[in-house]
Amino acid sequence: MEINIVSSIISASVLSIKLFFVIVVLMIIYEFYERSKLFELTKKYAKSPIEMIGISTNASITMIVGFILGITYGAGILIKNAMENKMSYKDTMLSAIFLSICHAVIEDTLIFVAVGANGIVLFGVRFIMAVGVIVLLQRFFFKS
Amino acid sequence: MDTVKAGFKNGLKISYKMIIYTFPLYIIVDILKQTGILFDIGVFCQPLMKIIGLPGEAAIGIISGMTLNMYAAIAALVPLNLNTKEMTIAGLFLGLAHNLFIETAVLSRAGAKASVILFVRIVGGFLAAGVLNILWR
Repeated sequence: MEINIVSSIISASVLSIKLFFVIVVLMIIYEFYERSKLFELTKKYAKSPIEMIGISTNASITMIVGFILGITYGAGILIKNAMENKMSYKDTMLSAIFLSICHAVIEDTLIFVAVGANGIVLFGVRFIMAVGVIVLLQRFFFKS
Repeated sequence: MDTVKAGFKNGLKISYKMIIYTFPLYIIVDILKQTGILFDIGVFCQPLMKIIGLPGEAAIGIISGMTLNMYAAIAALVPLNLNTKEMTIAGLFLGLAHNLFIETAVLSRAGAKASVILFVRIVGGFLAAGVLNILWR
């Protein structure tokens, strides 16, 4: 059987370079975003929709961090917030479930778009599903 | 300028983390493909992958993603030449269920129940990807 290792290494390099560019550009854009007024505005305006799906304001920073940065990169902030804010069990569970379904949306979506997936479908389905699940849980499990 | 530098630095750090997975894994999967071993793995996993409309060979990418991370999954999926629909389904499934060991540990340290989180992510992944497979024509 003919095995061509050289072609494997070349393709692996091409993929690595492609992902490298996507990530670097993405992180530069994110850095601009984090330092801009837009970031403050997002925090301000994200609060009411987050409350609307039944999660209290205490959890909103955690939600935004996880939503944008993801669970691994946002881990420090997530754990810190959970401990300091004394989020209720309900808030913790609801935001953890929301984030399980829909987190690190920018990075996850773009790296898959870079290899040929449809980004709008990827993001849209995850977001709608996360909101749907939270609304349902709110109705049937965490009724206060 | 400061902003660009900080972003570039972060980008370097993250891409380093990702390339140490993608580079070797891509080569391993590509060689598995050339030797035909990937085909056998694919046949074995076909029934499970069929639920979400992926070829059996994609199982190795899905498993890499669930246990390691998205980059590992991509490294294993790219050699399969999936089409847009298949790549989107894989991305959706993995979007829900990736890096499960580390992320479940993080969320349970933050006070959430690990079993619930795992259930939501894995079952949710199969549901979302399965439904997308049926609806996408």
